[in-house]
Amino acid sequence: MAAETGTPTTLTLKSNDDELFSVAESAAILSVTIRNMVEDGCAGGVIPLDNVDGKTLASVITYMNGISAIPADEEKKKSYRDKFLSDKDFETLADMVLAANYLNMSCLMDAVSAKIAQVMEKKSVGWVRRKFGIENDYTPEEEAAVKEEHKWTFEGVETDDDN
Amino acid sequence: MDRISELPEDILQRILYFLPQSAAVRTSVLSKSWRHIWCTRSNLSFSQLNSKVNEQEFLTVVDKTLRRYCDQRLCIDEILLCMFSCHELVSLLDKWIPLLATIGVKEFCLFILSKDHFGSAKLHFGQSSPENIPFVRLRVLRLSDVLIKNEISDKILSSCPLLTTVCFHECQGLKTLKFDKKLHKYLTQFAFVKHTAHTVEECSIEIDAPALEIIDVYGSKIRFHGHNSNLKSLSLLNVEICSNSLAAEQSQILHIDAPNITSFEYLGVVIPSISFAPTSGRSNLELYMRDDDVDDAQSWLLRLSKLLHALRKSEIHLDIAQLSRNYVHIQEDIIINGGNNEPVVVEHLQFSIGNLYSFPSVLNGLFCICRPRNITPSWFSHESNSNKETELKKLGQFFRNIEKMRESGNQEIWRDLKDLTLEGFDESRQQWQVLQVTRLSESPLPDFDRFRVRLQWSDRIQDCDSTSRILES
Repeated sequence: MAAETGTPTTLTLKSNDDELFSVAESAAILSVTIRNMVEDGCAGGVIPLDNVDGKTLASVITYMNGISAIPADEEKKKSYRDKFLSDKDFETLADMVLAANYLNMSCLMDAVSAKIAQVMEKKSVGWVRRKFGIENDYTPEEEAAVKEEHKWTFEGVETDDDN
Repeated sequence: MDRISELPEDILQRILYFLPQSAAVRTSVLSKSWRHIWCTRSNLSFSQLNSKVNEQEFLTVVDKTLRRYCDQRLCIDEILLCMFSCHELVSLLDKWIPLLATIGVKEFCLFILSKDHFGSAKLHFGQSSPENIPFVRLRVLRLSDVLIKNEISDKILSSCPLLTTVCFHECQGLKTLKFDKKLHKYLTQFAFVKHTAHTVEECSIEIDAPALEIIDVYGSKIRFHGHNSNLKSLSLLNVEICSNSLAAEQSQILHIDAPNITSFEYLGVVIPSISFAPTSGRSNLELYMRDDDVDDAQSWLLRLSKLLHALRKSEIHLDIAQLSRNYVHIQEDIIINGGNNEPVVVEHLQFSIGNLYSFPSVLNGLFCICRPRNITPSWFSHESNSNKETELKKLGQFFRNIEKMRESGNQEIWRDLKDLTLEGFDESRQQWQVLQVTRLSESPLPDFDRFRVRLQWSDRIQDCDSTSRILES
């Protein structure tokens, strides 16, 4: 491993659409999945990541490099995460959260989850459906019944005009 | 199906984790696949703050939800409950808290808000909240702004042997706190902070907990017993240190066996004498020089010299406030020869000056016992119209004063000084820049807000300092 040879070790990661990426081991082991592979000695060749596509992996590697360059300072790490996610659309966020889950990267997983939650929090049901393309498969009677059951959660929420 | 509804349930649960209860429950209306996702999330977050829901309904929802989790044997890791004080509160919490223990909650955060707008009333622990905390396995207890009777705190502390962290922040009613080595084997962090304490005698703390790593105390009386070999960080601010020895009342003697300490912070009017010597890390000292110290500045400086010597292997940051209006007379010879201690390197000296006429002599006294690498002077300004121009003028005066001392002062001290510069902090470049002292009175005035006087001492001082550091490590 890196500590023994004195030179930084680089890992090669392969996405499910056969793109290859090199990344410093020190940054890549933010992923517990990759760290376990390195510790088991599987890191010699190419590490295949069957559940992540090239576009998402490129983005995750940007994050790995960015966050590992910041010394132990939670404030700075948080502001890096906020900035990193600020221009991502929902499709990208969904890809990222799946990749973070597969790679077992809790800090990225939480940052993306919190970002999606933040989008939903103050919004009406109709707005959230439109934003995420969720199809309403309730009948009007069923929907009214669910709403009635949890009436208290609708106090002070913006109203739906087109529902 | 759409992207978000397709996500695996554990990811959706994680997204809901970041929502308050009402928003999480509302997702059940999105579509049939969302109907029940919120029901099993592993955290609950109820807040009456900014909530439009009426009180009775809020309490009913909390009660129903907790019972459902309990009945269905679901797990909750974290619960946040933020509510206004009401007459039913105690009886409700008395019902709910045992439920939490049944559900296996790992973290319970309870905020009780006062309905009165001034918010000055403290929560009366045991009166507006249940006094019985049935958590035998409680590890972390933090109480802020509560009024708590000693019987209750004693009861909690003695019935929770697994406590690792105990913090009392601005709590009233505590007279004594005792940590015992048999009972509190796992206690690693303790904080007691009371900025409003009028006298340090309000609470008396006795510590005999060998696992303690961090101690933070502001405003109380404190006494240490036994070994503290795990102690890494000790912060004593406005604290009266009690000692078992019959030493003079005036000098605080801190007898504490803490060989692994790396951070020591002290603020007070009396210079303590310490029995431990950190071998690395950082020491922050904030000390006042008052009128009664001025009468005996000699022994004040010798006590400080002894303290600095004990801390010399850590990076020392010294903040001296000279509060006295009287002239301070110091005989350098006695300090230089009477201390028997080599001058100690001080990384940063913050020097707050109350009396412009006596500061050169106090500063000279400090130079007898330490070698500051940086000095930042500040003035307690009595004039309300002090502006940047006068501040810079005083700074220039301060710098020239050190130059004068260097030329005509005691060579025992000044032969070691290699370089003396004035520097200003450039915010845009985030670095210090050397400044000519004449620039302080020229217009345009230098565009810096922070200044320091930088002193470079000869290798003799640096060397003996760094060799001792190497030897120790």
